[in-house]
Amino acid sequence: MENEQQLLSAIKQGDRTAMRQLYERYKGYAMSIGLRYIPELSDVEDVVQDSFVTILTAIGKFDYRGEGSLKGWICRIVANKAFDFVKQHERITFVDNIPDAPNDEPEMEHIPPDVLTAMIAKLPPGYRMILNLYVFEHCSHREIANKLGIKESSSSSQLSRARQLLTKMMTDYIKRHET
Amino acid sequence: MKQEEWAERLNNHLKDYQQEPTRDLWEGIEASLDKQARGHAHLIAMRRWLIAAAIIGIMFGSTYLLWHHEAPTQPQLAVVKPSHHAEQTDKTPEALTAQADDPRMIAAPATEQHIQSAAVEQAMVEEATAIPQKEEPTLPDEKATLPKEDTPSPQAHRPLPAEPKAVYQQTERQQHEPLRLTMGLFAQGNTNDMNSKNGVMMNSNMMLRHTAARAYLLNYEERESHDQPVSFGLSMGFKLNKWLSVGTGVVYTKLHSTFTTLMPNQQIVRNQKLHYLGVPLNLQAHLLQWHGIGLYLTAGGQADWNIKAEANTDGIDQVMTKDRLQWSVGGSLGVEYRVIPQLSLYAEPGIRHYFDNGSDINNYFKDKPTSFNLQLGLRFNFNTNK
Repeated sequence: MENEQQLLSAIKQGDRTAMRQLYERYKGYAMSIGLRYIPELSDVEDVVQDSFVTILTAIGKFDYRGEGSLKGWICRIVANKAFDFVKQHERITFVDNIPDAPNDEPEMEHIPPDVLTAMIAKLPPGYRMILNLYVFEHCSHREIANKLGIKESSSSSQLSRARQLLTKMMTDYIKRHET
Repeated sequence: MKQEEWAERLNNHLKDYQQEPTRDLWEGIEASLDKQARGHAHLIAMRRWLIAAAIIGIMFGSTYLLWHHEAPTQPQLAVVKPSHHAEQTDKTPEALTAQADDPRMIAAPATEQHIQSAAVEQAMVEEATAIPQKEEPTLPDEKATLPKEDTPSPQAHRPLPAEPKAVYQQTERQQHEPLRLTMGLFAQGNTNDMNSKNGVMMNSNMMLRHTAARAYLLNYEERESHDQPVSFGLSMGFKLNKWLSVGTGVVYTKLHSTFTTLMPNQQIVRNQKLHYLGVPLNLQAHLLQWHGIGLYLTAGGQADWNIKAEANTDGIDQVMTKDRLQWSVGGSLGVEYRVIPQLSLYAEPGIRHYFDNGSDINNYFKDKPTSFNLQLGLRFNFNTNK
């Protein structure tokens, strides 16, 4: 099956092969999302497995809106599941000792995606959540504040700190690999 | 570099990144799907059983009510029963039935079935009292075992042909005596607009702050839609005097809201369900009572506790924190119709104001703090003097 619509139609008729095909097609994206939220690989795999069960159970409610909408929906579900996992298993904390931001922004495109993903996963839980929600889930600061139970202004300021932390990690990485 | 621009670069760099899992997850996914399918079939079967149980419950409830509706006539027959003892031990059930048919003996109209049951009960009374009669031959005066006609005890009272009027008056008085305790079952719905939608453009402030707006922020919009609350409750009322009564009870309220986030080529729908359990405290002033129809005014307050909060985004359940305690005040004008002495139907159109509880959760109470509502219900009246 070439496109999402055909795949979706077959899955809604209960075709297990099509379900497997959906999993095979999007499991890599699902894993990359989970790895941005959750540091432990085995936990990420559990969340991805649980996400696909939910996706295939709730797919009847999905409203197809063109090619790419199914992928977007799957990615949102995985992100929501990962967010819930972190909320349940980690304390949402922020740290005070933020290193000074380097004057020059590093070229993030020079850093391999898997390394950059691991850097995001290493951020303290509060920063990690805010960064993921803002950068990848396109949430507004108001939505982030509601989801995390913090003030809207805090969400904005903590995002700046998350950026500072990530920038420091990226700069250090580039320095290490230049020499 | 601006925050927006930086976020955009980071997003673009990672958006196509894929990471293979270290183990095959499909086996576990398939096993869970099979398990869920079996659970779903079981749930359907359970629902059928619950519906059947509810129907049986309603049937039993209705039968109970009907039985209680007829109950007030029975004590009158019971008053008559002992009076046959001394003089009519040799009467046949038919004769007793004929006697019971006498309108002078039975104040309220009784069905044939009642009369027959009275006759059967009469026969049982006779059998029960027959033995003591034989065992008490040494009593100095047989009449001493019989109640005197002016004895107030109803068990020993023998109505005479001249007395039915008095019995009737007593029954009348019992039925029209002010009721001290009432219990009610009701359903309530608000009468405001069916769809209260708020369109909120979220990007205006952000656009002012950030010159480099991301593409998804353009045409970004949030919409809220709050369905009308639906309440079910059990209420109790205590009459203070002829005009005033206080009422309390338990009220279950369900609120449903839909939050839609609109972005170019993307729409996120979040459903929110809040379940509240409330305790009202009302003062009721009875204005009018005419031929079983009553008119009254109610005013009071209510505290609602959020017992369960559910959120679901695009069909996926999410964790949600509960709402804070919700206080409200309200008033209504009620009309009541007494179908039978024990049961009334009532309608209470009213107005209610919900105070802001300071929580971040958006719901109907915050969207429409003051709203009109209509409460419909059944009220059970218990005469505690019985």
